[in-house]
Amino acid sequence: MAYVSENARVRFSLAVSIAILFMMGFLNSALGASAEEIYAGLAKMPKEQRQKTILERANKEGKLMVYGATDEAISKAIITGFQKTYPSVKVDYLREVSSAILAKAMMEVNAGRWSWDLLSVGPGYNEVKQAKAAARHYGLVADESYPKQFVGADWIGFEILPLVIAYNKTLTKAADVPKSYGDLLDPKWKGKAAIDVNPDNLVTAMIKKWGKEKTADWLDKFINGNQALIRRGHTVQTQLLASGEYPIASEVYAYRVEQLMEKGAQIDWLVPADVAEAEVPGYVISSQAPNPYAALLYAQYRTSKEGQSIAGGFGRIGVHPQSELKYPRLRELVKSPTLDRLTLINVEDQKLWDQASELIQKYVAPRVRAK
Amino acid sequence: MAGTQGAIGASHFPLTVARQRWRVRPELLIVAALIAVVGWLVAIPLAMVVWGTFRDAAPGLPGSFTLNNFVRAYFNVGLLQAIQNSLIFAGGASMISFAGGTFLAWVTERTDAPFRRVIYALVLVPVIVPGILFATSWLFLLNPTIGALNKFASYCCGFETPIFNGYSMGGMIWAEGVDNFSLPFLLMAAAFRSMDPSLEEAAQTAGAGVWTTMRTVTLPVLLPAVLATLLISFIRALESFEAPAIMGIPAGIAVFATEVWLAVSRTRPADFNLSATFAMGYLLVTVVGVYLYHRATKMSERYVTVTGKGYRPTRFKLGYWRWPTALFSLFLLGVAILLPLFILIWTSLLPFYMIPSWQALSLVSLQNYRDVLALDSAYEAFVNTLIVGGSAAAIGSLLSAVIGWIVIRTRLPGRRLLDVLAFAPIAIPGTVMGIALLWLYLSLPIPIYGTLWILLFGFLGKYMTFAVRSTYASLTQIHKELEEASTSCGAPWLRTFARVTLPLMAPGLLIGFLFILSLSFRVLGLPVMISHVNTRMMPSFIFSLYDEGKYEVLSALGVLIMLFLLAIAAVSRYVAKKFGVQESH
Repeated sequence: MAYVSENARVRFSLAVSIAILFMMGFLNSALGASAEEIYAGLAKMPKEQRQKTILERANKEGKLMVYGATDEAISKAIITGFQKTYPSVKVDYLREVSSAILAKAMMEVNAGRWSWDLLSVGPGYNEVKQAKAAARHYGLVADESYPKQFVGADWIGFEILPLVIAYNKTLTKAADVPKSYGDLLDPKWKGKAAIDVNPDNLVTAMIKKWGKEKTADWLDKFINGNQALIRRGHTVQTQLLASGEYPIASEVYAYRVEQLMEKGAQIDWLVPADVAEAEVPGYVISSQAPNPYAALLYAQYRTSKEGQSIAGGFGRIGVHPQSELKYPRLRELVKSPTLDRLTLINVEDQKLWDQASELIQKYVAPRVRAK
Repeated sequence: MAGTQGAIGASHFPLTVARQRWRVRPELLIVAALIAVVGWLVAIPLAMVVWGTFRDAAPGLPGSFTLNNFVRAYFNVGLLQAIQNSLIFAGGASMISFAGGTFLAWVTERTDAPFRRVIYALVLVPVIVPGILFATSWLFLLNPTIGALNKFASYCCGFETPIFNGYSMGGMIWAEGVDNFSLPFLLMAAAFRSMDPSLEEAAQTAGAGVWTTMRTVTLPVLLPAVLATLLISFIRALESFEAPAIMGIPAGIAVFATEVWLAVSRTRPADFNLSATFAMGYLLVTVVGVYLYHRATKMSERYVTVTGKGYRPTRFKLGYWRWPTALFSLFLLGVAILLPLFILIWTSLLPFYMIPSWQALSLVSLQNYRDVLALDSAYEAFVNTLIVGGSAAAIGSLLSAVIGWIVIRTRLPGRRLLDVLAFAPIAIPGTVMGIALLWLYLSLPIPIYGTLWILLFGFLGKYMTFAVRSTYASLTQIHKELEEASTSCGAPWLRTFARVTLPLMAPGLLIGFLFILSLSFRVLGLPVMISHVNTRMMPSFIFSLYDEGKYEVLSALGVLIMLFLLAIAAVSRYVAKKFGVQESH
């Protein structure tokens, strides 16, 4: 038997150990199931067993990362509620404006870095899908009472954000207030109604309801014919309405108007009779979620009556039919038949959003370059 | 014996020569290290921006070479008009900020007018308050319908039509110009403080008055500081989007930054390639500006004001003009800074903005301040900003001192490239720089993504340029003879630099420090893109509040930040006075 030195034996053992570890890592990553595969397996389980598994595994994961654009105070309250219910799962929430959070998330995905578990999406959903970054959830994210129209194959809508016509009560009599977008074309509103420089939600809803041609005609008449006042940002638009710069704001979030009304602003809102739009922001679970069970648990909490009522305490309209809401008037908006009347813009309407973008460039952008 | 000694000496001689030939001079090592550092901080993100202009896919995705980005960016109907508007806007705003800032710097540093400390403190306010707040405050002052100034004019003087219209080019230029008083003030104040008064005394002895002396002696001698100030002010105004967004868009006045925003906001996520292509336009302006600056200041000996001759800067005795000068300065500050500050403080006390009135007074409360203090994430963001801003300011000031010395004092090859590299990032919009950094550190196995380090690198790379310009202006005023005296006494280069050059540059360095620190609280694009869960900075927090519609809470936050940074400014002024050139009384 040939003599093998002690050093050679040590080196050989080390090399084998490294090789084994490498293979384990490789196999682990090759065999590690994606979120979608995990959810497909869970979907086949009986409900009780499924929930037990989700809870056990989520506790083991112990954490999750959410990228979203929800207001700081609201997200903090929801996370506090979630962690009270599930103290073993820590939630990290990265809050930025929606364009920045989407850019960040997609940069990470394109670089092969999967650090987020849930992501807030709206426009940009198609890019997330193209990158195969959204996991199919098999309906596990919500219970049976959750309205099905807010649950996609790989996305979930948490809230309904109606956009309404708002008016200043000291500058406009209630009887004179325009009741529809068609009324805004009346010459008496020339130079008196504000619109956002990028009214993508409104125009998308109009295209969905009226079609592209009629929407283009309305935009031309309102923006150019009636000299609509162009303002940048819904924030500024609502503030200036409350301050009395103009009598009408054509597209503002109903809950923001309610918040200012609560503080004493002399403004009010109404749902337009012809196009009543509501944005439905969505979330997706990452197809390579580092914590797929925790992500699912959070999504389930977020769609539960408790989770939805927390956001409702801040005036955000939850989708769950039994969730509580601070502003009763907003609750009426989402009860049938009004809900049926709302043109909902969800993440799958991106093709329409692209058409809206085209019309905005054609009719609104030239006003920005008038001088 | 002599032969032996000669043989020994001959055998040692080649070794001595060889050691001298291969002895590495420390300044060359420092230059090499500096080029590597600046290259990493600036050149790589810059290269990515340039690369992005010629690709048709976002970073990290497969793509191909294209020139289509240039077609999309620069062949659009509104661009020529936007460029013209930009030149008017940036030119007008930079002239206002230069004139106002320089006048106030002269009053505080070179005259015996009273209230100099008050003037100094007030001028620093705009550098501290986020631009978005100031621009909105001006909107609430100059709005033709609800503007406080128009309402006041109507109430007290019976004007039926509005006197002021914020939705105009004039409104934009004014808001941007006064918002940027601080930088020219700081740069020119440092230059004035370091100036040997003998030239001015000679002019006055020859019969020139104060104003003639200022115009024909002081400003020409301070040409490097003047040009640096104008260059930075112009480029900042060119890149600025706050006033154009809030006041220009409603007026139908688009500038270059508006066209960038219109093009980039059409897609989600934002089109990086298009953003990078627009950044090339800013870069071109920057390169031309830097070239013109160096052409104008190449005879640097002309601008020396600090020599080996001992001196103390003296103040002009204004005589009867003391109080009118002080009152005019305070009036200027009142109009330019106190008015929007009043609106900011007023809004911070209200549930939503209202024109000042007795009815609005009844709604005043400290609720917004309580709301700010109740936000846990505000404290973390504040601490992160102090850490990143303070570190970037300190390191940036030091780096700028060395860069300045290489560019101004040496004839080393590549120093002009170093200068352009150090200045170029000012032209790149913060969001574009942020995306470039994101991709860089997501792709490389350097684990700083999601940490404060990426923010430090980002702020250093993007904003070191302010410290560099301020350093140039300072260094140009210092005569070489002071350093030569030290080296001729045997002090090595490093000791001369640390013990002679740096202290004399202290006013310029401290301005760079203060400016980078204040920018870390103020600028939005870069930190919003590269911060993460536990590394959010104040700007991300501010932008979130603005996006959520909590303008009044944001105003309260702005007031709190301002009070804190005013305290820092007071300390830095004390340090500058203690270590810089001492003034005579």
